[in-house]
Amino acid sequence: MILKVENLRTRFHHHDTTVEAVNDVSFDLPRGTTLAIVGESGSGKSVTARSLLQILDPGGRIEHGTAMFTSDPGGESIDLLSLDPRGPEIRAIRGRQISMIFQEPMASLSPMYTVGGHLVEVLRIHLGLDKAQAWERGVRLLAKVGIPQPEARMTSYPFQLSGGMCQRVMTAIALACEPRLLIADEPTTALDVTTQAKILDLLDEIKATEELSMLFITHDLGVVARVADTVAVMRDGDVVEHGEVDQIFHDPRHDYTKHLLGSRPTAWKARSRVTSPVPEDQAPPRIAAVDDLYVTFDGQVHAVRGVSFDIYAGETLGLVGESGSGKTTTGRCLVAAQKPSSGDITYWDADGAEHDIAALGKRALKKLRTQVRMIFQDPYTSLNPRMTLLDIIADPLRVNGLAKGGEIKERVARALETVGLHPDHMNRYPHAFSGGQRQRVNIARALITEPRLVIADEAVSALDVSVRAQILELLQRLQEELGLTYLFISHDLSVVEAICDRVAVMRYGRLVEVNTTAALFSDPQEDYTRELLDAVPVPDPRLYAS
Amino acid sequence: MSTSTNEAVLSQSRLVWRAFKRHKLAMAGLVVTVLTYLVVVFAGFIAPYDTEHFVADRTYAPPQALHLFGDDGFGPHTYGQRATQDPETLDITWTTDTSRRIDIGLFVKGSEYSVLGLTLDRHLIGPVDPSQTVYFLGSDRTGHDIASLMAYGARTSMTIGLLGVAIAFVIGITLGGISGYRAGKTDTAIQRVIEFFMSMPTLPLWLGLAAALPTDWSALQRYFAITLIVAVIGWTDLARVVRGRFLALREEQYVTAARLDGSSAARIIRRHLLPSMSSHLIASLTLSIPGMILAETALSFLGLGIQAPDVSWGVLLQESQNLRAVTTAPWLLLPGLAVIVVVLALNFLGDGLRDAADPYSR
Repeated sequence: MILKVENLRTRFHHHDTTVEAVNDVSFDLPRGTTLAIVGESGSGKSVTARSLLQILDPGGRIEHGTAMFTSDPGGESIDLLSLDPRGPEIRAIRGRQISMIFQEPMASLSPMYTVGGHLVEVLRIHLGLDKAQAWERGVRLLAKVGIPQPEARMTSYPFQLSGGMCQRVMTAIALACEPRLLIADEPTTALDVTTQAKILDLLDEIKATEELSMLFITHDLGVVARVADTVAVMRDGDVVEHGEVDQIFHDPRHDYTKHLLGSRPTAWKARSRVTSPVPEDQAPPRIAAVDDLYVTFDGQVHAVRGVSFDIYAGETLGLVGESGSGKTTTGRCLVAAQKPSSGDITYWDADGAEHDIAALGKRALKKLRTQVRMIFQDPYTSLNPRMTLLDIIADPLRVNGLAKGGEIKERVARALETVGLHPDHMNRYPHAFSGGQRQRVNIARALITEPRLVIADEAVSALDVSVRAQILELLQRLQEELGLTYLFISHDLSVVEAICDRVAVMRYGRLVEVNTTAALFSDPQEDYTRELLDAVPVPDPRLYAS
Repeated sequence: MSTSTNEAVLSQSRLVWRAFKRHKLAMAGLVVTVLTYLVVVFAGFIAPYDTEHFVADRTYAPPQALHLFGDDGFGPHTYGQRATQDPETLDITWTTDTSRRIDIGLFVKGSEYSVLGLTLDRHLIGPVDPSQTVYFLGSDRTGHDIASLMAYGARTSMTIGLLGVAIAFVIGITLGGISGYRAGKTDTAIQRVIEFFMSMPTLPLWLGLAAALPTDWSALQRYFAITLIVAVIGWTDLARVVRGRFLALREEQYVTAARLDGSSAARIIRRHLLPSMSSHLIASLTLSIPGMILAETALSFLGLGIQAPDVSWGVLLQESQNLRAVTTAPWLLLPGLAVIVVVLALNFLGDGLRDAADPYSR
């Protein structure tokens, strides 16, 4: 046992309110293994990790508990929680015996220092090396974390590196003093899926060669299945279940664990509809078409380069790609929020009349925008915090003169009910609602004008898994009830697989492949699609057991 | 959290007030500011005398202390003063003459003044016998009562700030708003204009403009001219703030959402952009009033702003330009103390408002 945590309780005091972030949590971490702490936002998983190193945010206090850390087998155990947070003992442990990597690799590195500067500083402080020795060792560390041309990279600044490279550098810094325990707090959440796969491979490899133990914090069940030996499931500050990874995934005991596993898009897909609305033998009616679309920003950045696809009435078309692939820009062109540099975007209205979106006049554009609506990614910034739900949802009605007087309230109430919110809450402000509820408000605002085509731009990416499942179900139910067509933009292939009829894959502003979901996932035609699919961590530990 | 159900329906103003109350210094600032503006409104009532009243042979008289218990029994009173002149240096020394008791009362009769359209002759505090003159805060070179002058001076000094800020506010919001919302070329043009104004050295410019005012202008004309001069420089900071906020806010998703709802630019500014920075505006307004007060004080102190016989704190401070006068009559610096207190109070108030401004930022 390298780490044995018992009855850890951490609270946050803020003005007159107290939040119990971690509530009598106990777990242990056998030497040389990985323990994954998994939970949704606010479950206390990060606070648990930070409590161990006593690096809590202001207001946080460890109320009681022990965390026995045994650096070397047979060696002396130290209770981490009994050490003075500012004292020399904990500082000797932090970074030296236990080190940590964080979610935002870019934000964790100072833009004022080179990669070499970061590494040399750590090595000199903790190991007392001189400058030349530290430099040489830094180069070896970079080589170890798989950075090509490590000598040249030592003089690079963080902003010259990609996110994945930065995370490798962070890992190199974390490994600099040959720690016994590595705490990784959502280390791959901010990365693209192919980059994530590479970082996870790297951590695996390092764990094996360096005899590291790892505490891995994540919300992603796929990642858990991939990296963990044991798992602790957290909810509202409690560990609800703690066990071997195989048992957690295949024989979950606690209801919440079952609920989490049931929220996985793959599990949830079984319940989704089976019939595709697009008949295979006849040409279905199109609702929109993108033809040879180019978007260039400032004459230099080519965001979209020659993309063409059709959207059929009644279907859900998934648009997937990693960051910078141009998928969001394409979506913005469809709602005329972005002017294309060249190419055509056509929309067919309910009467079958054809409209060129890029060339619409002011009035026609206003009309189009009631029929083609957008659902935004971030449930926190997409609602004006100073307006009540009524005003937010009614705004499109008022602006477009679609309803008057009492009818407005009636329609807002109905819209709230449709998305599963209580109509009585229409006079409340957005801050009173959770992320999932806010996303429902977003959907209500999009649907209030009775649109035909809805662009959902990463509409569920910011949500916790269980909430995500509810929102996806809601979207699908609404599609069936209202005959909606979706363009579903996402980086998350598992979600896309679960709800889309067809999928278009984008990379570097180009369309890589378009196919029906089943065909694309079972038989990808392009190398990139295959790479993308392979990179997605599958939430089943047995697949990684070998 | 237990408060969340409650917070769900609280309006923004209630939340701001709750956050503001936690800021102790700001609360103190608020109290001082409110008291000062009460003095501005009720200057005639609070001041024992009007600005014309003086006693020619009682110059540089020190403040007269208020007593409650005396040889002749209980009751607020003060004692008369006697001057002795040193035959060699000609220095006048004031001593308290305890044999002469002057009774002080509340709501006593005095000179007439008008407040809120009413003509009254009652004063908050003063000698019961209207023919007596009592200097609670001493007298100046000509035998005027400093306390009364300060009360009347507050009128000019405190309102010139408000008016100046109001003018600066309109210019600042309009130009800053256009600049931030339109961005691009319009933004560049307006920003260069702002930089032009900001690059001008303020004090020489004020001096130049103030010196250019015709000497035969009436007090009122002068007052407005000074306000304008102060405002001409004051708007640039606010315009910058508004522009910065607009530039950031127009990228918010809810603004994009409003645009996709079909809202016009005017509607987006009115319904989304301005309301979300109203609290910041209030805070920055409060913070810019002290600047205006200081500007007026500086101008008047240098003799280029408000001019005697009109009173402002800056005019009163002219008296203390002379070091000799200050050493013999340090109470002449009291208007300076008033400026410091009021400026600090407004700054604390503004800080508190700014911190409380966004109750949702958590």
